[in-house]
Amino acid sequence: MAQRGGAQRPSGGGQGKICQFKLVLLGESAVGKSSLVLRFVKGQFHEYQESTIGAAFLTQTVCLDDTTVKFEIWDTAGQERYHSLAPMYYRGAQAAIVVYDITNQDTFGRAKTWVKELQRQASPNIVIALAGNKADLANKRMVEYEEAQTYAEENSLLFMETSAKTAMNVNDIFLAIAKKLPKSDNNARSCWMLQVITFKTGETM
Amino acid sequence: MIRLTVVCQIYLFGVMSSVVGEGEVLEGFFCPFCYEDQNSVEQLLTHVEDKHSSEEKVVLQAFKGLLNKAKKKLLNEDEPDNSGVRQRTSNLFDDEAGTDYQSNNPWHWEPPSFDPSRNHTSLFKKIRSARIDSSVAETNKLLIRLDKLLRDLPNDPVKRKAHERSIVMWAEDRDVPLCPFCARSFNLARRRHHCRLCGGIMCDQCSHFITFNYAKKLVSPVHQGSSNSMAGVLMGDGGGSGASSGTGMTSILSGFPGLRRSDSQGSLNSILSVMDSITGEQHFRSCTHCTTRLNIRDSQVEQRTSKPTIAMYYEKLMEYRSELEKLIPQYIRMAESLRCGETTYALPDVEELRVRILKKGDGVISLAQRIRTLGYPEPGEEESMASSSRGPRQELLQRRIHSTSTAFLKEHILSLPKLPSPKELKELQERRRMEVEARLAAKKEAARQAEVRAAEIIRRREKDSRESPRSSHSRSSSLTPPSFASLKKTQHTDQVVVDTGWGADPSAHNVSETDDPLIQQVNIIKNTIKQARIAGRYEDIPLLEANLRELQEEYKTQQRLMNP
Repeated sequence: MAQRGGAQRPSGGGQGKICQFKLVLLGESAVGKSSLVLRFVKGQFHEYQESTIGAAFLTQTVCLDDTTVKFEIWDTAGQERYHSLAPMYYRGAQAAIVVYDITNQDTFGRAKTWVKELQRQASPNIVIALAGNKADLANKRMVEYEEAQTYAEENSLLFMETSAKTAMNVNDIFLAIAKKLPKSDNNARSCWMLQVITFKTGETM
Repeated sequence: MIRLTVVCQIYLFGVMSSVVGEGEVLEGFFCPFCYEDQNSVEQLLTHVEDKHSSEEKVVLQAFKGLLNKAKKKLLNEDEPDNSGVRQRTSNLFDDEAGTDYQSNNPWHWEPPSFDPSRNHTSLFKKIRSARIDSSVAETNKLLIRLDKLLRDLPNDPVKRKAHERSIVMWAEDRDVPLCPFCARSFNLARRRHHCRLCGGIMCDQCSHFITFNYAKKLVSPVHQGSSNSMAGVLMGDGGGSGASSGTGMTSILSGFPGLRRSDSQGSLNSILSVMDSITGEQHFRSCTHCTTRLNIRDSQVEQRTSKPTIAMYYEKLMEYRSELEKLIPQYIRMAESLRCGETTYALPDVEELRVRILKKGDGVISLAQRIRTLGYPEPGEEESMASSSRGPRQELLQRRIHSTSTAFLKEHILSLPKLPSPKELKELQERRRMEVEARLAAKKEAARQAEVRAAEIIRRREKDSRESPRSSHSRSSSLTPPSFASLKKTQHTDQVVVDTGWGADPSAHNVSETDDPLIQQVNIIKNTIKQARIAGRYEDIPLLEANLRELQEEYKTQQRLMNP
């Protein structure tokens, strides 16, 4: 494939540019990854969402000012037997959402291991977001907001508590990711170099 | 021109029998002004010309008044009751009120004691609604009886008969010496039979048979008209009747829309009449009156629920059109992308889409054609009904639908961009690749030059800083790369989630749980590709195909590792 994600689609007709990003969802099983995506992509919520097999592919487009951001979303299965598939999907991803369930401390621990794995093995400038799902069940909360926020800050992750059921923060977290992703064509390095140079030349003047 | 018409009127007037006095009828070429008999048309014309030329204007009025007189006479005889609602059509004669009609002054008419026309609508409505009411009540009575008959109908013939008689009173045999339908006497060979719906007696030949299925269809709640006051009662009963015959009742009720009564009532009768009317479980005997009533009701409900053919065609047509409106822009985008030599879309996919569009276009054409010719009697086919129902307005409508559809197709289908042939496509892609490469090379060159320049700047700065103790080099190296995203993070205002989300339906994946996760995933992706193609998400297909290849690659590696 000539153009991988992050590249600008030249045929993106008319107004603004179109960026396409690969996004992967990771997390313990039954934390609500599929529900989160389903809410974002189709605006639906199923009380009894079936457990995902392998990885599901979905797409959704959001508008940011003049830029149209298209997410190609890979919703991976949380079950351990599918763990071997995950690297294939986070490998080329520009963004990842690591999901945990705020009513279950174990899932938060699992989320941390996912973050570690991503930091070690995924692309170095991957945008990682941490989503504490099931925020509608705050009365059964086991993971404190502050705890998760502190962890997110330490690891420079985006953090939001979400609820696929009430749609709280669902679109917001995707939009926040879209904002954080570089929307220039090609990778950001050449631009960064240019900035260094202008900085230096600025210094000489 | 005006004079000519006036003359014509005079002529007409002349030959018509004219009512002059009470009970006196004269015939001939009378002058409408002075009532003098002129023996011929010519004479009458010259007479009017000579003597009444200045009075021409009133001729029309006079003529009308005379006609009204005649009308009044007719009405007077037919409708002695003249107190009904009257409608004035003209006030022409009010001015002349009070003058003497009997005098030979032709433009002075007696004030019309009647208006020229009267409105019978209310009377008609009264009679009509009374008739409809009685017919509806009668039909409802039959339906309720039919429903009662169907409910808890015993299988045993004797019990069944008792059940039937408990619902409808049967006429006494001795009261009916002759079959009321064919007027033949009953005897050993021609036995008396009872209509199960009204209890009347007729001979076997004059009997009709209502099959159970038909009966169930008639009483089923789906069949009820919305305006029917009995709907509630029958609805409840319709549900209860499910227990009656045991087999297939519910399925018949639920599968009702598919049911169509066979029109060959005659042959149906001949078959059923062979069966013993008592042991035959399949029908109720019914007289002509009841059968006709039920048939009328059936066709009424059918008419109410079924749309006219043209509407069905038109709906289908619009469905095709809206699909085309969705597909065509997509196709154009894809074709343009191909023309640019991009690899976003695969040529076979685009070709497939093109075929799909053309097929839909064909569908639109044929539907439009069918709508256009709807109601024309086709050779060899009898469509007298349809052709007679086709008024000029409908014809216009049909023609317009046809012409709009053709215009739509002309505008959209004929202007579809052509696709490059595989060879052309290769060339296009090659050219694009070269262009991209050239651009990349240029960019690399620019980057290299920038690097050179940067190095030069750094060298110069180092030279400058040799004098000053602070090393700018160390400072510049300590610079953390500014996060591009954070730099770009300006104040974003409105962001809208466009509802263009798509995802494959996971329930359709049908992967077995026992499979290797990789194989499962391969199947899932294959299925997703299939669904993406159906949903027209062609731009996602290359991506999915890439993933599929990756997965297959992975699987091969895994196999190699497991069995070296």
